[in-house]
Amino acid sequence: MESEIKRIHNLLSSGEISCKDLIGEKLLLLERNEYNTANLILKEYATQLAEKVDKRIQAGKKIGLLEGIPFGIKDVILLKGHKATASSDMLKEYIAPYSATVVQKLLDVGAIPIVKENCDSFGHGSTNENTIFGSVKNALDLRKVAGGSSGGSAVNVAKGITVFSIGGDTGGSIRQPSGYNKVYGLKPTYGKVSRYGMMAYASSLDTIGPIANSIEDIRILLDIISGEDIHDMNTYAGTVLPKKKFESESDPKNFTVGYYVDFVKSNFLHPKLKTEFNDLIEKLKFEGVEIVELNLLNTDLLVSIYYVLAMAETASNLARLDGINYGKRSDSRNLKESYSETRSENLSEETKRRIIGGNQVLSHGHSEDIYIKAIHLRNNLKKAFFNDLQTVDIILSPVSTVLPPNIGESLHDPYAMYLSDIYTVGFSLSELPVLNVPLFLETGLQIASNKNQEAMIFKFANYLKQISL
Amino acid sequence: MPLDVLSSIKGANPSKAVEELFINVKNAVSEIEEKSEFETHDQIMTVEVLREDKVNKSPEDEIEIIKRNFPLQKDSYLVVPRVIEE
Repeated sequence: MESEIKRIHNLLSSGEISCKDLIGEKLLLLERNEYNTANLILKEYATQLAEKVDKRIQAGKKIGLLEGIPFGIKDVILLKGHKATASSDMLKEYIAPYSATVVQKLLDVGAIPIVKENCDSFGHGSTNENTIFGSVKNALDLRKVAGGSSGGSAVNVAKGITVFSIGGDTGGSIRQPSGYNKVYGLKPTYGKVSRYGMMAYASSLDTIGPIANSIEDIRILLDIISGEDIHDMNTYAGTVLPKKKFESESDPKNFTVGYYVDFVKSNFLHPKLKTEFNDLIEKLKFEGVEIVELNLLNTDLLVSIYYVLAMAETASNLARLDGINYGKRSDSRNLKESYSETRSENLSEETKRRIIGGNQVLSHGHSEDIYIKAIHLRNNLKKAFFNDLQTVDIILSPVSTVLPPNIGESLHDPYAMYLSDIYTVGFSLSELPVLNVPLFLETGLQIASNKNQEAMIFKFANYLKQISL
Repeated sequence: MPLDVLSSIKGANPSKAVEELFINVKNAVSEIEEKSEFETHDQIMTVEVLREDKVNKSPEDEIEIIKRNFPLQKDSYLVVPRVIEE
């Protein structure tokens, strides 16, 4: 699919549709949608912004590429003056006092937010069932889960309800739902996009990225939302990614591609996905791409390292949810009782499980044996990826071990849900950029490269797109 | 300290699923280097890029939203739970 942003921009610029009609049509789709993707529909706000765009067009002004383009925002990311619930009881009535840097950048270029999107509460989940707004349903099969945690965002893009959405990815939360709903989703290099204004889950892993229907739209959006931000000290100045650069270099001999043998041999991997991945490797070899088999130490530990660190960080980040300054408060006899009542009553079971686990690993007697050790293991893992990426330009991997499960199937077995993240968390721990492409594998394919090498990923994704036709 | 106190969550108990993850890490064999170039964070902040140390007043509408978000108010006062010193 060509750029949907450019297609709609041309329609608006030429006057073939008005922005108000366009937004109205999308709002109607949102209101009627049976996928539970919307926590809050921004009807009045979006309509007002659309009228302003129409006035500019009627006055003969040239509009920017993103001007009037409707988009969605995962409901852990702030839009000033509107609810930001994190799909939780705790923040059900919370109003964002400021906009996230990413949202502000998109508002500055004229894009129009139309919905705050359903997600797993505070990003805690891989199925988008951990939400007070009802499970998000898969865009391709209403009985199946949408994936998570950015499930509402992926489904909105897949159904054409939003032109693009902004999600968050800590351990796979953009890539996995993008794979389950057959859209493109990018987890940028850690630090490339500011997280200011996104509710922190695990700060050493959190990223914000775009979900869209084409590689070109992902590229356009990354250029807009990336860059240094004084409010997020992990960000750095980015470079513009020229389209021509990666479209003109599609010779297979330009790429050396690796994949982890253990990932594909794993018993966890669904046979259909295994066959599809192996077929892709054979096709790439046939096309003349150099393929390198890689071995990653401690593949079976990836999920454990990730969850130890993510839980420790989320225990710390979510300690602020005490009902004192904002959020729901359950009043009690005194301050400590109030904290305890508030958190016990207004956090979900999964969120509580992660907070308790985090406090467990950070407590005396566990921190050296588990938390500190997990940090060392993470450093070893980063080193392993770094070394592999000296040999290859690209690493390919399935996104998920399984096909999307039926709604309700995963809730009783959290350990199985954690294990299903095995292919996504390693790249997160290593801070690498990864794009999910809805090509070759039923639940998506991850294309990873070295830090800040998003251009290489786009180049290879374009090449894959060409050979998939 | 008990987990329910550490977490401020009533009846907090370790989860079997989570403990399995912890055991995997605990039993992992790893070569731990004393100091590795990967120990330092690539995006570590430097003094040159720190924010200026000054107080910026929030816009009025932002202050209003922050007040509105306060869970309990009475006669223009923001109400907090009673603090018991132990």
